[in-house]
Amino acid sequence: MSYKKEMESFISKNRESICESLGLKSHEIIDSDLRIMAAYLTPKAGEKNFDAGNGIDTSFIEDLKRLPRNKVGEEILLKAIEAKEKGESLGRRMPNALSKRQLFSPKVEAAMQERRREMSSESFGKLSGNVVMLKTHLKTLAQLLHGDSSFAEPSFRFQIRTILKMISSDLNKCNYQARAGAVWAIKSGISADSAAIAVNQVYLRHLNQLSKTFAPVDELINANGIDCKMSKQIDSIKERWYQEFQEVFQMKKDIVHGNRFVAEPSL
Amino acid sequence: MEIDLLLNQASKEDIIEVLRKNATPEQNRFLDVAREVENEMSGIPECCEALDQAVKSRISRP
Repeated sequence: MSYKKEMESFISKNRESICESLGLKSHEIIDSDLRIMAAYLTPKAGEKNFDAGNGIDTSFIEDLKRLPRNKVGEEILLKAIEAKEKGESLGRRMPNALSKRQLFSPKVEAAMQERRREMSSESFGKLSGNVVMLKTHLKTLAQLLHGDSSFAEPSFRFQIRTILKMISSDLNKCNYQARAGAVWAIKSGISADSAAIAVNQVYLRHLNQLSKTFAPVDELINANGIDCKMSKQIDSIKERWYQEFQEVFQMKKDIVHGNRFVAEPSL
Repeated sequence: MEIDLLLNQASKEDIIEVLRKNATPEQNRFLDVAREVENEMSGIPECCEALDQAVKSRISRP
């Protein structure tokens, strides 16, 4: 099987994970989007062992296969965005298949642009502003629960649902922005393990507390027939960071003990 | 979990101050923003407290 075919089949197997990373529903990504993504991630035909100045070579697909399933989509997306920005596939030139006529479908294009913005250093600069919004929304939820309105009132249920949606969206935004911060730190030359410690110090440890706080909040709201999985959402955000930290620290340990020499992964 | 242990050990020191020592201007910019984020995030425990109280008050009602 050609590398491109293999990449296409790999990408289509990981459709769900890619959709999740883009924040889109499964039906919002069409097959041609996946083919274009594969083209961006495929070296130019005949250049099986092209010189990878950017540190990516044809073993990329093997690396992808080793990733935990929930991280595959994110990695594919980041590499595709990177390649798209450079206007080339991961090989030296755009394959013919990627002519100007063949663009991502509008929803995917918009979602990719949004992700690109989120990954920039300016994006990290917006994190503190978003934390302010998150805190405001958390306090509003506390006030609503503290107040006298009953869960039997439709207007109260509506308010609760609305504020939960806002908090959920704040958390996602904050997380993308924190990721952008980690990427910025590493690009600026800070080591991956120091970046991990910094992310934990300024952001993640407080999320831990928030997750614990939300367990009884979720329980109360669910008991009143409103779906609320905030604690689970925060835990999955946290778990994902932890998985990456684990790799970073393991890698550092290996390097220190001379077990292997590898480039530090990008967070 | 080993990662918790590593992070807890690491957070005994203020990583921002540690990194400041030999920071390039670009790294300093990052560290400034990180400090700003940290300052805002330090308000999260207060929100947690408010949510705790709110849940308790609602549960205690007849």
